[in-house]
Formats: sequence, C-alpha cells, structure tokens
Amino acid sequence: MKLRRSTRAQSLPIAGLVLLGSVCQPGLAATLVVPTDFATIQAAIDAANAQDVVLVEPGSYVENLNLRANVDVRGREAARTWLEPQDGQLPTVSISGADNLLFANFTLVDALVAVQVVASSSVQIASVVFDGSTAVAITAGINSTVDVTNNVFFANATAVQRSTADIDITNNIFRSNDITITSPLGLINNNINVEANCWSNNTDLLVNGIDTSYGSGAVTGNPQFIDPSARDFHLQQGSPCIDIGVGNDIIDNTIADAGAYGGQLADASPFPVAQPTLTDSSTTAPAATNIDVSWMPNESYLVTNSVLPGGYRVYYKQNTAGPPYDGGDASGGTAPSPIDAGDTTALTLGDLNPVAAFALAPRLLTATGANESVELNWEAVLGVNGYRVGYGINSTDENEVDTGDVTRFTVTGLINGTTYRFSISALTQAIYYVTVTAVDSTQNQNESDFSVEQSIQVGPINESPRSNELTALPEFIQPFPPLPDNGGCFIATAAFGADWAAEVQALRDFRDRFLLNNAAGRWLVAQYYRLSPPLAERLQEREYLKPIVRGLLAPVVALSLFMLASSPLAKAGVVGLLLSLVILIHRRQQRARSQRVSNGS
Amino acid sequence: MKSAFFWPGFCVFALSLMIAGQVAAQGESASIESPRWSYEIRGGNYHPDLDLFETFYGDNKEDYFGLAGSYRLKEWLEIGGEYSQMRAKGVGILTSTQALGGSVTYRFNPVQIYSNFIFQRRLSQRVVPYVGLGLTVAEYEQDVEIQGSIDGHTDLGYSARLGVRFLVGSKGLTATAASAGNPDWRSYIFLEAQQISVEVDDIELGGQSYMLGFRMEFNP
Repeated sequence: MKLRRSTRAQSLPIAGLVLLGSVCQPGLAATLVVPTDFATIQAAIDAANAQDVVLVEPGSYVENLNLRANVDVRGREAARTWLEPQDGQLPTVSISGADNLLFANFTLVDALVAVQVVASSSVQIASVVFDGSTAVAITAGINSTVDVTNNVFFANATAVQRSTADIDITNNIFRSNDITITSPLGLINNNINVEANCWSNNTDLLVNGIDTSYGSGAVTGNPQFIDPSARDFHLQQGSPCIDIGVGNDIIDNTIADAGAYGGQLADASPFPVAQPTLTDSSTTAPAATNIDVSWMPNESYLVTNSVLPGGYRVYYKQNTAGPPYDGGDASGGTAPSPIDAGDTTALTLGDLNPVAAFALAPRLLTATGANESVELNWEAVLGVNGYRVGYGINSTDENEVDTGDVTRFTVTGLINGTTYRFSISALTQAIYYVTVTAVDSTQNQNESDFSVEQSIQVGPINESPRSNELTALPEFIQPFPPLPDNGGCFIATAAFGADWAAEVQALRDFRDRFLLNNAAGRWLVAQYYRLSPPLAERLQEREYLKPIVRGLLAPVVALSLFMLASSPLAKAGVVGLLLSLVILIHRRQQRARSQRVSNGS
Repeated sequence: MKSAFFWPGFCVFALSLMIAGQVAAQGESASIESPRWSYEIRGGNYHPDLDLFETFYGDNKEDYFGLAGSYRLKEWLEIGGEYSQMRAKGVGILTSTQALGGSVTYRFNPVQIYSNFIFQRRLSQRVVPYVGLGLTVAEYEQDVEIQGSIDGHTDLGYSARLGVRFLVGSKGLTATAASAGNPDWRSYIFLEAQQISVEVDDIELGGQSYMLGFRMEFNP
C-alpha cells in the first residue's frame, strides 16, 4: 500500500518554509468548520488555503463538491454526516487535477457517481460509506494515484472503476454490489493492489451462491451491519470483518477492522442511542417520585458485546430543556447526572425531588356563551404545564376541569339560559429532561453524542391563585333565516346496522374530508340527504334488502378507505391507470370507426 | 314577495324576445354558425327576498360571484349551467333573551340549468340581448361560531335572466373567414339581471342579482 499521507507529511516542512516566505499567505493550517464557519462545504473548500482542513459537522448536506489540492475534507462522524448530490447527473465529489488530499468520514447517498478522480495523485479516500450509487461509487482515471481505505461499498451498481493499477483498495467491505471492481476493457487485473477486504453477496463474485473475492487477505461472509436500511454500517459482534485488515484501529488499537468504522480515521464516537422512553413509576406508599428510563441498545460490537461490553450513561435535569444536564436529585441526591447504567438498557431515576414553581394568576379575557357551552379565552402564563377552569352557578368552586396547556377552552354540558361564573388557575409541575449516551468498551471509553432528549412531568401539581371571574350565559343562537339542518348517513346506517359501524364511519370521514370542503361535493351530499331518509326508512322495514345494499355500498366504502388511507402517489397511480384505460378504449373506438368508414367508402 | 310581480311581465317579454330571435335567425346562412361552446365569469350583487335580511346581516345586498358554461344548440338557443355563491356575515337571535347576538356566516350557493334565447341577426353583431329561463336548486349553510353549522338545500325552484352582451373581439368573423367556415372564438362583456325563486320549508331564499361578466365563445 502506498502511504500517501507520509509523502504529504514530508512535504509539509518545505511547504511551510515556502509559506513563511510569502507575504500574502499566513502559512498556518486552519480548520474550517461547516456549517459553523461556512454555510456550505464548497464555500469552505473555496476559502481554504493549502494544508487547511475542512471539517463538516454531522447533518445532511446536498451539494456537488469540487475538491482542491492540499485541502482535506472530513466529516466529524461518517455515520451522521450525509452528503447527496444537488445535481444528480454530476459526481457528488469531483477530484480533478487536485493532488495530495484526503476525503474521509462521510456517508454518500443517492449518487449516480459518488466520487470521480481525474489526473490527481496522492488522494486518499477513507472511512466513507458509499450507499446505493446507481452508476459507480468511485471512478479513477489514468494518471491518478488513490488509496481507497476502510470504506463500505453497499448496494452500488459498480463499487470501484479504475483505469490504473495505482488505485489501492485496502480494508474495505463490499456488500451487495452488482460489480465490485472493474476497469476499461478489463485490462487491469482485479487482484492487483487489492488487500484485506471483506466480501459478501456481490453479484459479480457469487459462484453458485457462494461468495468469492479479489486480492490477498480477503475474507468472505455477511459483515453483519447493524441496520443498512437506516444507513448504520457499524459491525455487530461476530462479524467476519472485525480485526482482518492491514494496520491498526485507532479506536481500540487492535488489528484494523474492515469498513468505515475501522482503521486510522474511524469515528471515535459510537452511534447515538435512539430517543429514550420515560414512564412515571412514582409510588404513594412509600411516597416517592420515580422515572423509569429505557432505550434501545447500540448494537455495535464495541458497545453490545457478550465478552467485553460497553455501557450507557443517563443524563437528567429538571425544568429546563437542553444541556448541560446537571440534575442532582436522583436517589435522594446521591446520584447526580450522569449516571452510569452499565451494560443495560433500562434504569430508574428513583427518589427524585421534583420542584415546581408557583405561577402567577392568569387573566381571564373573555367568556362567550354558545349553545349549552361557554368559550373561555385567557392570557398565557409563562412556565406553566396547564390550566384549570373552575365554574358554577353560585361559585366557581362547584366544578373543575383541566384544559392542558392551551389558552382557549370551551366548557360544555351547560344549561341554556343559566348564568355561569368562570375563573381559571395555572398549573405547574416539575418536568424532567432525560437523554442517554452509549459508551464503548475501549480504554478511552469513547462516548456518543446525546440521544434525542425526552421529557416527562412528574411530582405534585401546584395551582396558582385564581384569575378574575367572568360570567356568561350559554344559549342557543338561532341563525336567520331559520332553516332546516340535513345531517346523517341514513342509508349506510340502516344497511350496516349502526351509526358507529366502521363502514359508516369511513363514509362519514370521506364526506367530511373530500366532499364538504368543496361546493360540488356539498351539493352531492345535500342531494343524498334529501333523497335518502325515505329510502332508509324502507330499508329498515325490509331486512332482506340490507345485504344487497351493503354489497352495493361496498365499492363506495372501498373507494372511501382508499382515498382516506392512500398516499398522494398511490392516488396518482390509480388515476393514471384509469386515464390510460380511457385513452386506450377511446383509441380503439376511433380505430374501429375509421375502419368502418374506410370499409364503407 | 318581489318575485311575484316580476314573473308575469318577464315571461311576456321573454316570449316576445324568443320569437324575435328565432325570426331573426331565419335570415342566417345555415352553414355559418356562432361558436358552440362558451364559458362565463361573472360578479355583482345579490339582493335576497328576505325582509329581515338587512337586520341580521347589515345590508340588503351581498357580493355575488358565479361561473357558467353553455352549449349553443341553435343560433338563437343555448343551454347551460351556472354555479354562483353569496356569503354574508352577521348575527343570530339569542333564544333566551331574543336579542341579536352571536356570529353567523350565511352561505347561499345556487346551481342553475338554463336555456337562453338570443336575439342575434349577424355573427358580428355588437350588441346582443338575450333572455333565459332555468331550474334552480340552492345549497345553504349557516355557520354559527362555537355552536356549529346548519346546512342543507332548497327544493327545486326557478330562475329567469335578462341581459345584454357587448362584443369585445373575435377571430374568424371576417367575410372571407366566415365563407370558409365557422368563427374560432368570440368574446363579450355582458350585463345581466337574474331573478331566482327557491324555497325550503316555505321560506323563500331567492332574490335578484345584478352582474357584470366576461363571456368567451369558442369551438374546441
């Protein structure tokens, strides 16, 4: 393997001297962070000086990059730094006439051509996941020297196309590609400069269903990625691609793993844990406030391992979202955040001391009477979890209803013509914010980023003083002119036996969503309501007709369900199909007509 | 009701114009025809025949918009359909106190099918009067804030219309083109008055409308 980086390292002092002698160039390598310092990766590349490093924070980026000589471009974490092309017809990353650079730690998705190298030497492509390139993942032309090290090639049409044997392919995983390695006219031996790679389920290398490989030190077999559908290509325990490479892993200093998470440039951080689940498990006897925290495991062999497991840390705090997670009240104040959970996926934050602030009394703005109801509207109070409405005829203490965190609420079930009194109070309760990290089993105990934060309200509820009091009179408003109301699914209800039958509900939902929001639909519904009551009455008297009507309504119910449940794409597909049928029939009729005319003439 | 006074006179006038239109069309060459299809965009005012409408909705007229399409059967006769809508915001009656209150939105959307009798002697006639008769059903909705809505439709009713069109432009109406075939398109600005009579539960929801519109005639 050619070690391009050493070549570059040797040239650094020379370059440094040249730069020191330059008036215009400061000569010190800088790290340009995207998106902190530059909005786009290309903007950072364009602004970089020789020897600078463009460092890209985790996120999804849509760009076509043109790399420049002597400027390295690295993602912070390959697993979470995704790059897809803005113009799908162009390579996602172009390296043309640009020597001495590193492109590493990305996941390249949805590319036609992911990386194209033209006339560039001392290029290193490392710790990159190439997922689903429809033409080729890496194509390198003549007069190029490239190290392709510790990458994952998954489900690409072609993984590597090389026009010169100076493309070294080492420590990579090739899984489910149509073609793994190729060259124009097959002039280059696919075994040359191909070393210590892991091969599985590639179309061009399957012989009678058995995996074969190229190069020396090859290993075959399912690499046991954690979840390719979620683009998590970390290796699980038992993967044949562990400790089979050239060189060492920077993470655990063992023999290098194949793939994007082994070797010298692998992500140090484990993949973050998914958002945890929180459950209030407080008890009354003895009185204790507890929160059960559970989460899905990180399946990487460096975390989930039957011999040498990693672990998890649970971070928590009260009443304010986001880091720093500096809670300190768990286990009666003896278990400050973070808590080492060990090799488990559940932990109880027990014996908490939730403290909720008392809120100021809210201000009730309006109380408006309507039919058997009154609508209340009040000013929001900061930092509350909800509100409580008190109402009654003689006192606002007669009835209570909790509204949740809203500022408008309708009290129902009131007697028309009776004056009611209303007031509200604000409710506060402690909120706990919890997040979990994964910790690997290496000596450094590398820790993942925080999981997505989860929150829960627990502990006693504090009620603020009552607001001002307002009165309102619920009453029926008769619109002018007094017109009859036509409502109900008469025939369907009669046929399916009950107003709440699923079929009736489907028809009602269809009416509400697709018919009542447009004039033509409303007219159609109006016609139905006009004609259906007498028919429904007859149907009720004749049981034997009901199955027939149900059969007749079945396509309508099916159509309703399709319209309610299907995606716009599915709807468009069906419409397209129907249109095609109509056009086909129309053309056939035209053809038959013209044939008749020609026969007649 | 205003409409009771409207109908007899209108019918006599419509009948005379219809006969006149038919007679006028006799002179036309059978091979030359106006464009068959047309659409119209129209807007104006609607004056409901409800005595207390102004009390509840603040005015005795409301904005009114419509779309129509028609097909010409003869030079003097076309059939068409029209959908229009009116929306008024006002109050209702608070039943416990009989006072005006609440917030009510009233929508009235008549659907018509109609025949128009057209008095037209020449294809390039600049001013074209017409009368029409039609069948009408209207849907209505009364949306009471917080309380919910009442909706339904009227029984089948009648409509009549009287209007005049002013030729704006055309293509294919020159003598040469006319001798070669039918005109491609013709457009008009028009003024029209309508009387609608539709009832539900013996409540007359009809009224008069006065509209300005644009009409495009074409052969597809």
